[in-house]
Amino acid sequence: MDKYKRAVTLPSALNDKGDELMKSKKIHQDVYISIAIYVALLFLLTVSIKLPEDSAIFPNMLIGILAILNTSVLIKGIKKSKDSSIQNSIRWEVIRLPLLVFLMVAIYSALFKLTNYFIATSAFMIGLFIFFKVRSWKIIILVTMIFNALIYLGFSKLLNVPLL
Amino acid sequence: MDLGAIISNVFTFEVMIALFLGLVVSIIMGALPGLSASMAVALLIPVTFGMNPIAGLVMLTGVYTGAVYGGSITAILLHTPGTPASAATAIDGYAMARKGEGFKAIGIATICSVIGGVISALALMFLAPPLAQISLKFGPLEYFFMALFGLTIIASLAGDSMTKGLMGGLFGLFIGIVGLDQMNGIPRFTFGFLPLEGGVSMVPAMIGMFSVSQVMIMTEDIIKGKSNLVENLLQGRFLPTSKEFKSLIPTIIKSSIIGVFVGILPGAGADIGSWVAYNEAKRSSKDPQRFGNGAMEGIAASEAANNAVTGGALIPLLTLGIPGSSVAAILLGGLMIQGLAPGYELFSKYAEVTYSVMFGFLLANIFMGFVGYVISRQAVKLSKVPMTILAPIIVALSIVGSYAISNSIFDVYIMVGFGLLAYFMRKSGFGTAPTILGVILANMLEANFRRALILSKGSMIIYFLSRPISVVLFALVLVSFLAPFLVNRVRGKMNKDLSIENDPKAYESSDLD
Repeated sequence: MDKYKRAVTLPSALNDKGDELMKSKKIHQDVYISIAIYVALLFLLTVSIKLPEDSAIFPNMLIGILAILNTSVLIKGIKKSKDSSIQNSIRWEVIRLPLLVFLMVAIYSALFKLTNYFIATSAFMIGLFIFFKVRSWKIIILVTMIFNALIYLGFSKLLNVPLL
Repeated sequence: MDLGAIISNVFTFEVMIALFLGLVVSIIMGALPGLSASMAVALLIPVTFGMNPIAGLVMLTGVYTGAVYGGSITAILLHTPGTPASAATAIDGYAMARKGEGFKAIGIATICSVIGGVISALALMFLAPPLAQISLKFGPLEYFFMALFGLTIIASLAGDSMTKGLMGGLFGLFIGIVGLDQMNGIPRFTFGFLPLEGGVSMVPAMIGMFSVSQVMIMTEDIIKGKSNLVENLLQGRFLPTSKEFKSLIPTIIKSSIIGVFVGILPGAGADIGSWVAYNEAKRSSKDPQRFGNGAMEGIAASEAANNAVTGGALIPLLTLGIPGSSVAAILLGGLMIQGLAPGYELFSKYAEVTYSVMFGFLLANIFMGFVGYVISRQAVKLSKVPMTILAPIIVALSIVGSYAISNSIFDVYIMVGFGLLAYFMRKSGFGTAPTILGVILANMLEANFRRALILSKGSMIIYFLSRPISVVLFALVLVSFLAPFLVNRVRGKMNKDLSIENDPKAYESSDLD
């Protein structure tokens, strides 16, 4: 940091502001979210303008109103960022394990398509039980088997849902 | 009409068995996410082939009302509504469950479902022909204002941030218009995916938003060391106290009337009825802040209304052959299988059969309370199951429920995708209830607005003023939208006046006079 200060001479007020900004790096999550929403709205607008006029009226209205409301969220997010005591609820250490669970759910649904419901479900349930540190193998096997049996009877046999 | 003949027609072994079987199956099916009332009725129609008309139709109408009620059980216990009609119940029901009052929440849902269903059955029996005429007077403009009225609910569902709530609702509207444009068949925002041309399936999206996001939030709780959904869920009473029940009576009656009225309107089902009633209950409450945090009135409004819709939907079905909801449309098939055609003949030549079925529907709503009590006593034991066991089961059930709707893996992908989206929405304060509401109302709003534009032939103001029902609905929309702001302003002023009155220094200037 010192070498950058020596190389660039700035008015002292700007230096102080820069130091202040450097210290308060926390930005409220609403700022990031509203930027992401702007990007999404811009993309949707590029799709919407290619539609015939009748079909585009309603989506364009929604995009417009969303953009206006999003601006309000952005402004509030910037104001909240000035509060140094902010604690964002979306933090990596909070969301990483739920995201891992979500990844397992996504793999489960892909496995369902590739194999069948019962294989995918058995793999998923056993995997998630282990992830959640369920220690009793008796419970893991029993719950998985009973669940699969009930689904087979209720959905496959009674409702004729093609799960195999 | 010979009451004795009607009672003797209904209280037979065949009818009673059919009724109870229908109720048990439908309540369980209604409780399972993805298995809707439509599916329950469609599944049991073949079973009625060999039955006499009264037994068959009593069973089907009982299945309709039972399935709508069943959705409240998982809505309250797991924050996963079994049917879209119970989405509003999940808001306050789950909040009550988390406070350890899950059994009571189910008790309130049961009683209110019974009362709502009974009121709608009585309306069906005594007011069917005149009420059916109302449904004929509703055109596109009236439906548009109904949808707009429904959207004003978003303001009350918005929670802490009105802006974020409105954005959630608008996002829901956007999701709802994905697919083929209803007016000219142009695909919108489908990005080349053929399955999306039918639109984003509402039920898988709702399952994902409620249950998958809930499992992700449960993961956070599990990491923190929490083992059960809630401690001591089995404690407490099933029935509310007489004082609590008395306080709920106005909400129940009003919501039941709303439900009957919404049910009469073709295209407006139990889901819309429950949201409209929920909003009205919150708007007219002396303490609306309690809504969303375990307010009994929230559960009462939603459940009374959604079951009241069932009888309301049968009114135009039986009198005019116009189904009041998608489930009623399937019931029309059940009617025809029995050789009965809706209309004048049903109330003249087959009057004894018709009134016997209506009486059977009334009984189904009453017995639903007892059957529901027995089932929910077992269901509530879910609280003893650790979250580490419950979470995989919820996901697996959500996957099969989403798939079973149309045997489409794409619905499963929709469910999973919306689950992730809802997780981040909940973490960032956007809320999911407004989004679900937006998805439900999108098509009704846009399609009817465009139809009304065409019918107005360029002079919308004149067209609007020529339709008195539209004028009344528009006034309701304005009141519903402005009421929260005006009430807050008046309350703020009252509080300010009170604080001035209580401030001893406020009298100084007059003393000097």
